[in-house]
Amino acid sequence: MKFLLQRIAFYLFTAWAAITINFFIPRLIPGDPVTSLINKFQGQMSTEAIQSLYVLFGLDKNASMWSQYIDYWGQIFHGNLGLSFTFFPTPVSDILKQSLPWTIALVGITTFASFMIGTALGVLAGWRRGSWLDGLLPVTTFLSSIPYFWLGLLAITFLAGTDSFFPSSGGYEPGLVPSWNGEFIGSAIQHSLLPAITILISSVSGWILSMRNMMVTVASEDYITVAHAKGLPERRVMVSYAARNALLPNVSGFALSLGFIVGGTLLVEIVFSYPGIGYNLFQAVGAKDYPLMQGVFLVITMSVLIANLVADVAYLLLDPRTRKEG
Amino acid sequence: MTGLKSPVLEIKDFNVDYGLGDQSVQAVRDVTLTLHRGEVLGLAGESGSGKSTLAYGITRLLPPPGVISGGSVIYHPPGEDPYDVMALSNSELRKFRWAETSIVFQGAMNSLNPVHKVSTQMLDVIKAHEPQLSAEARLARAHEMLKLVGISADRMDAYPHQLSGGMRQRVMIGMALVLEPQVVIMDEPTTALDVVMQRQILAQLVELRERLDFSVLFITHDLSLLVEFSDRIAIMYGGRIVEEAKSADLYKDSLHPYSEGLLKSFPALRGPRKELAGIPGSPPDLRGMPSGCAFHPRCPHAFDRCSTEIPVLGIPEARNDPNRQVACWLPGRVPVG
Repeated sequence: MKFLLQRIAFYLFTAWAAITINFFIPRLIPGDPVTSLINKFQGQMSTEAIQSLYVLFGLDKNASMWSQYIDYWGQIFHGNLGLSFTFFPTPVSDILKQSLPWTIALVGITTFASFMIGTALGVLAGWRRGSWLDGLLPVTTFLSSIPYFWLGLLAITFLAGTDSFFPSSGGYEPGLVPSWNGEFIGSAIQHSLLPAITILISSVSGWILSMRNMMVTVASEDYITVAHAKGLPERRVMVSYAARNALLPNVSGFALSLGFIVGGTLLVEIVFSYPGIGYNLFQAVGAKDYPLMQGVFLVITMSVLIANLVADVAYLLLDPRTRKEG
Repeated sequence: MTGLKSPVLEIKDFNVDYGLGDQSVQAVRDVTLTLHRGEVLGLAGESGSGKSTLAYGITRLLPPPGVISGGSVIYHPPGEDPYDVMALSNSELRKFRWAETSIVFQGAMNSLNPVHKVSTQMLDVIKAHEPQLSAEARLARAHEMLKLVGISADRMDAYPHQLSGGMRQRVMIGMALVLEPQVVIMDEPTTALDVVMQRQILAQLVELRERLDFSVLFITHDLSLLVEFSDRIAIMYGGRIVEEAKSADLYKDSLHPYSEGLLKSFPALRGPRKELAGIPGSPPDLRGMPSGCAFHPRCPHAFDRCSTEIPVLGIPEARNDPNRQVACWLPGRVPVG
């Protein structure tokens, strides 16, 4: 318990540091969002309007850096991340609220599926070394070495099209209104299949490879020989003795990859024009939409931190050696 | 051990190779050895002499590239027909393991699965072999066994990393005995422990053996330990048994020059002061075994015949004692007949 509290304290500190950096970076970049907004309206704005925009974005030149910083924190705690330029005047938090579920559903589920499938295949490949399963390794490694955007583009070129089952872009049929009905969910699943399959193909081999290698290492441990000598059923030796120990490094890898769900989907969402948070970031960068970028970065930072905490807790549960006595 | 001896494990013409084809080396050659009911048979030799390979081989636990290239291991269950362990199917082998022959391994530190509690690891072996037993009965059995080896009941829920090396090896011994097997193979069970702990564990083992009446194949490089602890001793060199005799006979009157060398390389606790002498040279390389007797390059008594002909293990001419065997060409040690 003490260990856990220590970790939580550490992550709170990291979160503070990350948010602070997030506050300063846009202010250190030459030029400011208001200038770029002024450019967008091509000089058709009065001086009062410009000043009120500065205040609105928390960049009031009359306020000190310190009071801006305090205001920034206050806004974050109210869930107020400012207004987006691209979708002016929609608040950034609303945009994120809309796009986050798409990313989490698509990439979250595929990351989890990839981990489960890859680990299971890795266990088998490591356990039955020299069987046909070893042939899986070069194939999957080859697939994973293809750059992701290329794989996505190939998939779109060959599998998607006007008369194909797979749509080439978007998260759902353009005419539909997002709601929890069968037609919409069906359409959402249909749109997610191609991105999901490409993510799976490019990520599963990493899990297979690392799990297989750990299985091979663990299989030569003394306790595995003892387990065999004990006459335990093969399955139990494989699962409860070998895989259980080999899994440990993979679990932390998995937790870390959870953190990259939000950030690492940029390419997927760009290639498939998927309405997730990565696509938001892409649009924000294109439009110099600072508040939106800041919001996306904040979400990415938080998700990485939470994933790390999850990894710590998972390790605590899985490996008794990391638990402290008492 | 006196009286009628009945065998419990007969190893016949056992051969183990590492690797296949031209690259293979023979780690164990034509070993014939019999373990009798209720006795402690010591197996001694330098590292690389093939003693652990033999232990892994007869339980069919050899990791690849180890291959059993010949021989049989006949197990005699009490009151039933004997059978060959080498001919068992996989499921029969699983049933045989631990229930009839259990093993205590060299690595006391790594023999327990680090992520499971001691109790889980004790219980799963009972569950695998006696599924009809209720959960309470299994737990009671595990408790009782750990008590016998001196581990208190509250350590049942400990993880291996919370136990000391000595405690872990006690747990392993307790686990080896939990199904009351006929044969326990001990592969250097005390090597990783300090001398005091070694003594304690061996004393406990002697006590347990009297109580549970199992036979022990005790493998070690420490001949002094065997002399006091075992009934009979077999000496291995270069994958072959070179001498086999009762402990006392071997200690007082060893016939093979290699056994003699081993005995001279440790001090006796009592008796007159003796000069300590090691064996010159180093153990043979399995890839390039000397011709004839594998020991002849290091043997102080070697003569022409030693480098050309492999000596056969047999009852020596000079001692007409059916309990001893030696493989040596020296006068008087040549097998009868």
